[in-house]
Amino acid sequence: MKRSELISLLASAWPAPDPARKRAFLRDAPVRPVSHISFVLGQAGYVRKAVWAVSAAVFALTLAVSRLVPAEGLWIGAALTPFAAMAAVSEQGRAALYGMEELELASRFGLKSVVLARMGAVGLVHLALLAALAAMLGGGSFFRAGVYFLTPYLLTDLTGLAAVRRIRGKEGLYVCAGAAVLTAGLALGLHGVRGVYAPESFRWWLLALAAALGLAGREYAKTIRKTEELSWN
Amino acid sequence: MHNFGTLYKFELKKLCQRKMIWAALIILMAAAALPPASQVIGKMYVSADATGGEDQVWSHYEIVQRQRTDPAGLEGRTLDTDLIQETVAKLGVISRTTTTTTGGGGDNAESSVTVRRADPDELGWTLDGYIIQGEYGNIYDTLERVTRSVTADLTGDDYYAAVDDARERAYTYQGLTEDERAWWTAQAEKIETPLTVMGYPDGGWTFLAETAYVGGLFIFLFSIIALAGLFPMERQRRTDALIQCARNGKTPLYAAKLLAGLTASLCGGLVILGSMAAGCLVLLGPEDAATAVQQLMDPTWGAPMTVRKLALTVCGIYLAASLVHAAFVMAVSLLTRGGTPAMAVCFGAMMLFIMVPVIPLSHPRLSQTWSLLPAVLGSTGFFDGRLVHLGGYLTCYQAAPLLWLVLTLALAGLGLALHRRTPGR
Amino acid sequence: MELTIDRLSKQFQNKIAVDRVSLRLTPGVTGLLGPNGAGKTTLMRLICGILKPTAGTVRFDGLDVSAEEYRAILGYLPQDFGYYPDFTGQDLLLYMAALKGLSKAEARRRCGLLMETVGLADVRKKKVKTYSGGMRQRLGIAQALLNDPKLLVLDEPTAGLDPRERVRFRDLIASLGRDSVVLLSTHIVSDVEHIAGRVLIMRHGQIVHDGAWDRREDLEKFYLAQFGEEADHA
Repeated sequence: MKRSELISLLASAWPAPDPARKRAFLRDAPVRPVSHISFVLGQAGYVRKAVWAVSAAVFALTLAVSRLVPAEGLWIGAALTPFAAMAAVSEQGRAALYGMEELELASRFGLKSVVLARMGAVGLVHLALLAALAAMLGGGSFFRAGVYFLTPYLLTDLTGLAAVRRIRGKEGLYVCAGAAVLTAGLALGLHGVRGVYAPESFRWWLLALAAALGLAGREYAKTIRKTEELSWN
Repeated sequence: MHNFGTLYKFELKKLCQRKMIWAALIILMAAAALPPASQVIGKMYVSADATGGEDQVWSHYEIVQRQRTDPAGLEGRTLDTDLIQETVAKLGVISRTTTTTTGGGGDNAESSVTVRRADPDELGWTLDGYIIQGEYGNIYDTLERVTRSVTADLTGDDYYAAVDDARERAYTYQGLTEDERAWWTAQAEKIETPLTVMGYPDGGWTFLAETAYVGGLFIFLFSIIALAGLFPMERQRRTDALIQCARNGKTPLYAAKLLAGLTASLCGGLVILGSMAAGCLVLLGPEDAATAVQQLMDPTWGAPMTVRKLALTVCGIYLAASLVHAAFVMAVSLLTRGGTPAMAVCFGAMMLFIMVPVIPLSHPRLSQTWSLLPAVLGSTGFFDGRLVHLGGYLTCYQAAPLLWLVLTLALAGLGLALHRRTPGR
Repeated sequence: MELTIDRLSKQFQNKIAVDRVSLRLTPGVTGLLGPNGAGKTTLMRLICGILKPTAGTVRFDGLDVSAEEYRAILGYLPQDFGYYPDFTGQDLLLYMAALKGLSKAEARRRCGLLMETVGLADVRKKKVKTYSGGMRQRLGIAQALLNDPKLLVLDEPTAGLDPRERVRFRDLIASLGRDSVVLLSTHIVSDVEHIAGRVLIMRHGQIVHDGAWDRREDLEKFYLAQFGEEADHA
């Protein structure tokens, strides 16, 4: 007799007893651990398709327009990256936007972990896209191009985070969109002004980037802290 | 009637209470002052290798202040044979070598004019020398643009004949009819020749005329930020049910909101352009007010106009355009029923106008219509010679405000129809 | 004075929210009860002209719901409404008064009177964003009464009010019902029980009960009986 046949015969001869205290056992069972990587990857899957679509559109549009007007790639990129930042902020502030904070705060992984994971996923992808644009359009000056792209991105990011944190509901997103449009419009309007993209003005860009980095970092910290507990009233 | 005044005041109040609008206005005001400020910031360096002596360093501010004093003494001179010969002597002549081939295996004809550009040592590498070179250089550029070869024996009559020829070629290129040519010829006869030259070519009025399109862009931007949420805000704030069931909640309220939006856009435009104009005139000086457009901007422009009039006209165009932009943004916001989508659509439209400044003349109607668009007229469409027939002939910048009034009313009507449709929630 | 609803229907894609409702409402308080999703709020929005019906008509003394004159005699308190955060309570009432067609003088008079009536006179100059939920609800009630409406539609008007305020409000509604047509929708059955002279029960978009209410009976029992709930609980 085969082993498998023996096992099935034995099982039918002595049926398993009904489970006793099944519910109590399952409740007391240790919680299945989830690794950081799989958690982040899992959360990345919950990032809305629209965010990835906007990011891809910004990247593709910048490249496309730069092909048509080769010398203008830098300011076009600077004018379009704020919209990628807006998409990122809308994702980071999604719980607040839709009034889901209370529910997400009370869940297993907590709002803080979820927001950090999504911030990380979207942020990494955006960093890669900006780096790729800087490499392709920088004309040999990767660092300079990177500064031109990152500065408006961070300016929109920090304004958007502050807005979404302070203003409840879709109005916060509207203010974030306004910041993106304003930053992009300024990049568009001022690109022809003498000195804005000149090498001698680069130190002002570096200063602006440093300030934007510092302020954005502060806004990120405040946003993370806000996810630790529900804001009163 | 329908408490229109009260509703209008409350709608303005609601707009004024939005901090985002004030923040945007202040930032755009500062940004509008940046172009003229960029002209006086920074320094110019000339190394000892070039000067043959010491390094020279002049701040742009210093240069501008000295320019305003007309060190070359050209102010009030006429652009005649004497001044042309003097300019050529100071700065040299242009060389053009042209080769024409007359059929297969035939002779090649060549003509050339030898050239020598200015030798800076003659004027000296001093600040005054640099500025005097610039003043004559401006005259030189005007001559070069028209004649393409500034020869040593160029006279005033030659120059003005070349201007007429260039004008005719431009009319042919733009496809003007005989009546339109005749109209422009009549305008050109009003231009006093020889032109009276102004000594300070790069002043505040000129700069304002050249860069007002940036102010116009900022006004459009301001309209987008301020007004994209004007109507959708009621739905967002959940006050739409209260409003729509009120007696004056439909047409009267729409009219009040529309007027408040137009007011906000116009006031924003005044502030932004005012900031730009103040920056130009304070930092770069108003001394070039009476300079002819023909001296600086377009030698072949067929109407008598000073740069001050040009600058004020362009600013007026953008203020009129602010109303169309406001109506456009509000209509789009009613169509999309959301502030953020409306912003995206309007910003996309703005980018399109910037990326496509002209439509080729091979599509004449589309080309002329495009150049009459508010976002285009002040930049590339202003010197379009094609006329608009509204009773009599009007230039683009004369006809545009009238056409825009109709466009604004049409957009307002569209907005009303969209506002009156009941939301299906 | 009569509100006439004739075969009123509203369909959203493949869901019929209001299904051929016909009613005649006369001065007095009519309570509208029904489970969630029954169509009460949709019916009220149709009566207020905020939604366009798929079929049927709504008229008040011959005036069609789409007429401006109809909206001039209407007062509406929605279930869920917002506000302009930087407006003061007084600003909001004056704004709504302007929308309702009141003159400035009349608006000021009514605003002052109603602020007293709803107990917000002390805070009328404070911004609405500083008001508690109950205060905002009272402000909503005040705006509904600005134009002394002949037709008053109230959707969950006592939500957020404490018991004492609820009783005050009930008495106010009862007094208004003497001269106006009042349609009151609520989940708080006792509110309807105390003041409604007529009860409508709605289910799946249809009126399943329409009748005068004899206050000697227990309305909650009656209401549950309509949905077979009483038997389950027993």
